[in-house]
Amino acid sequence: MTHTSGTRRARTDRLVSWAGALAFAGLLAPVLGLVLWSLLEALALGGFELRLFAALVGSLELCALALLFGLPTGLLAGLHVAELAGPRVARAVRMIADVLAGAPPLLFGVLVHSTVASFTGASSLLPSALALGLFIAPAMARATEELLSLVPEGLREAALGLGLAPWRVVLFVCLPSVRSSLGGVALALGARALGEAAPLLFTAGAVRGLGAAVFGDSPSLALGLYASMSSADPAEQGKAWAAAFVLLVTVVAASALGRSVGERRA
Amino acid sequence: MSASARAKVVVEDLRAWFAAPGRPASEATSALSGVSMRFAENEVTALIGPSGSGKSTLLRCINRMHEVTRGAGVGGSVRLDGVDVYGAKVDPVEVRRRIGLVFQRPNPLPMLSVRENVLAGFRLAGEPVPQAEELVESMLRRVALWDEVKDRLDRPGTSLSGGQQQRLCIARCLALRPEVMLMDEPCSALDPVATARIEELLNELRSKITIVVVTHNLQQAARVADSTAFLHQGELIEHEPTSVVFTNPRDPRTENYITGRFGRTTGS
Repeated sequence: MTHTSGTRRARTDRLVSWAGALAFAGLLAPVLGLVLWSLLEALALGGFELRLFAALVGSLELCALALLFGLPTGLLAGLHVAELAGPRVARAVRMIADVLAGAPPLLFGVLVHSTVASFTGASSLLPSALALGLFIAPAMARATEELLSLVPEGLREAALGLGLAPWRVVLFVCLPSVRSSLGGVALALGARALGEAAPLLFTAGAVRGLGAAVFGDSPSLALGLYASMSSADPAEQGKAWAAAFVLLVTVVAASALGRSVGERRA
Repeated sequence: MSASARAKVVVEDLRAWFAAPGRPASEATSALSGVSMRFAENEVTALIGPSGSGKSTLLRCINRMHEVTRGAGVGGSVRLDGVDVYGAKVDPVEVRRRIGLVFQRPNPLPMLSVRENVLAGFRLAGEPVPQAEELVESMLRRVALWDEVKDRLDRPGTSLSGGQQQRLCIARCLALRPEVMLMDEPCSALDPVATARIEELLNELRSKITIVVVTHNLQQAARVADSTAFLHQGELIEHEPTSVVFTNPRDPRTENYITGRFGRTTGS
């Protein structure tokens, strides 16, 4: 009896372990496959060229500027909801942030294109970064709020009990205690923004392929990839594959960095 | 409380409650219902009573930490040197500077070193600390922690043992030179050795600063307190010199509590 149930348990155990490993492999395969495939295609079609790095630098610039818009806005909104707002306002802001975080990124491009871009001119770095910033801010707001809600009540009370003004407690005690997690979130959001092309479709000006002589006003790997891949020219497609490879590696590296920063305990 | 001692803190008709968020105060749970008592200057007062009797709430009302809890409310008055700390023009931040609070669980600020924890009240408030090193040493000596930590002042405050952390928290509180120090079961998370250290410290601080200590440990109250107050279900049952409370209590509920018969023979 014991023996039978023992082997049955061992069998179930093995089965579940294998199912888990299989599911993990199923998730990993597309990522690794895409990296490998894009590398091979790019090499075969001769897609790697120096101009790619200009596009990468452009993407990183765009991403940095987007973070500059998105992170402080998100951080302040999250702070407000977590520390200052009444329950009703908090619920409303939280819902709006959730809706925005779930909205198709294309919409942010449309919004900026139809408002801000009409003043700044359709194709420039600024509106593009703004669109990406709008994409980042809601997620940052929710992350900030949730991280702050994890700050132990005892820590907050310890600081208040020392006769610190509440705003000092938030700024110098609560935020620093979650700073590494916030840094991780910021990097992960940066990585997502880096790979995002949809919000830029309307704001990055004329969408040119990666082979275009002038790379548009705001070069972006993701957007260039989209344009080049749509081309019928194999050389242009090669560049798109090369861009895909560089983009994937950069995003994976940024995400990994974000993770390691987030996991490091202060 | 000795008859001659001046009252440092006077609590009058103090009522405190907790309301669920978004609910009116009329539906709130009462934690204190009209407590009036005096805390003598430079003496140790112990607050004893069963769980839920309002000891901690009373303590937290004195330095306005009660209102920090969402839904918490307070009525009546608490006067520090004759001034109502709930007065319209009084800044709660200032009240908490003058009336320090030591918590049940040691809570050094995790991102700060031992040294910075002692100075936290100044540094985090953006105030310069003249002769910071001297202050750190004298405060750590005062809580008998200096010899144990003098070689690791730059290590995180949380790297110390529980008893050391609690003494660090007391040093942090004392560094601000409070006039009153409130202690909420400061030894309940500590072993007997660490507890003895804290009690020694209380004996040393006695006559220099007004101390109110909440404790579940009756022997501790008997050892450290000049006067002892017994609270039950949000009411003050009696407040007498410690020797009187433990040898000749006025109220049968006090007697039942200190003899450990509470809830068995007479209930509440």
